[in-house]
Amino acid sequence: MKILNKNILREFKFSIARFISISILLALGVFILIGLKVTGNDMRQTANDYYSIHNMADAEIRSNANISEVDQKKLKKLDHLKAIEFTNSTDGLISGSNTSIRIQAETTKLSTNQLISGHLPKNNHEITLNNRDKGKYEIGSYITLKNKSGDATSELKNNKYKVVGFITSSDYLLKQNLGTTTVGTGQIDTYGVVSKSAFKSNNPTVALISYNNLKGSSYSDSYEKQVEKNISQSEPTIKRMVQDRKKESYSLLIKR
Amino acid sequence: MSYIEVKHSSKIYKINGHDFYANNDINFNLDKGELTIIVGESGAGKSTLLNILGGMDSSTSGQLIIDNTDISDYSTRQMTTYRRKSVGFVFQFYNLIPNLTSLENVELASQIVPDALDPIKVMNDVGLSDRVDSFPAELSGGEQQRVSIARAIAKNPDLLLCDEPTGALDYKTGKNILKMLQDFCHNSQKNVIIVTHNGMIKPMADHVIELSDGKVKLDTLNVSPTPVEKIEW
Repeated sequence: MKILNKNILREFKFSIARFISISILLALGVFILIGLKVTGNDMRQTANDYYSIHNMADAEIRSNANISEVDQKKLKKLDHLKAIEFTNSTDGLISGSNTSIRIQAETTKLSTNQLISGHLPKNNHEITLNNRDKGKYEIGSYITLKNKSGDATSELKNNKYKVVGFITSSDYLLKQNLGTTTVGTGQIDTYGVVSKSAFKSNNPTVALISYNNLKGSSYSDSYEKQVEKNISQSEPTIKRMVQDRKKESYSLLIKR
Repeated sequence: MSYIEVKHSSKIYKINGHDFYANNDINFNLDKGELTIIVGESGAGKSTLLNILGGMDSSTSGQLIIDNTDISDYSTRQMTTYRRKSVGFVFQFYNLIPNLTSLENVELASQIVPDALDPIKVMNDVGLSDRVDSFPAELSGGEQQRVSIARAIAKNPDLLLCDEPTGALDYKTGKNILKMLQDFCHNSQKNVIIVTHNGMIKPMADHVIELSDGKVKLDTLNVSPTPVEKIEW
């Protein structure tokens, strides 16, 4: 079959331009098809891995007022809870700039932070910042916080912090538009984590929740539907708590 | 005993629900070593008959017995083997492979059969020893037809079928080609069947079959065939 092979070889040789064009065309087609098919899965997998590393909470309850001890106990009794962690958060400005920053208390169970460099805050004078700010601040430098009127922030014990490390967080995936705030431009520019003891009040404003009845990875239908179901199940309880709290606050005001 | 026997062979096409007889009850016998010319008008069924003889088509009914074997009920695979080992085919428009030189075209055919002839020698026989390295596009029509005859002969087939081999050639070249076919037939004692619409070349054959409207009109044996050189048309 030597001549037959020769013929096949010459067929390629005599139409090398056509051969290359068709090869490129095929490669391009395969490239796009595989890309379309795989990119979505890849992105979901990457996101899921990122959330797993950070133990991201499945749901979050935020309150303008503090969550009282009584309410904390009630929240702990919500259905399907795997874990619940109470934490604090406040917004402020970094003095000397117009940068708004969200300060969070360090969490240990849910929505934890991954340390990229340096160390986590050991006392209430230290802060770790968003890893994206690595170029702007150095480990060992100091930042001073203020509220929107330029005074010291009322929720924090101290206002001057030593930068001791840089972290990533599952709460902030974007480079910009980290969330809305009442200080600065109205957009959160960056975030930082301090130790729990840096907050004045021990009454938290945020409750992080993870559920024990979830299946599938993040963005999967089964996961999202179950989370939504759990949340709508908890809503009446939480609304009742809010009503009770309002009444309580009014009565306190009236007593005064 | 005849080498080729065609018995009641018919080929029927269905056209608009009507039966169209391309071949209608054809019967003839060919002895071994005969140069046969099948002659007839356009549409008389010559090419259909040749395709059936060459195993490229099968008849709707009837038998085709070659060397005492009935090939009319062969499977596709058996047909392929028959075509490959026993039949050489020369087409009106040569059908050479453009990517191969003339010698390689002949070698290609010789490599698929067990007892092939030497390709160089065959190229010599058809008078193309100095064009072996030319590609078909570099050859004239007559030369291309000679290559395609060499390719058919190199397989050393029992049956050489030629469908209008001179149809695309001028008078002189056509004569050369026919001469070559006649010589091959008489020297090797193999069967050669030539299909043509040119009735003037009938004298060169041992056996002439005239077709008309899908039927055999005349079946004559020619005891002393005329050499091609002496035929004028």
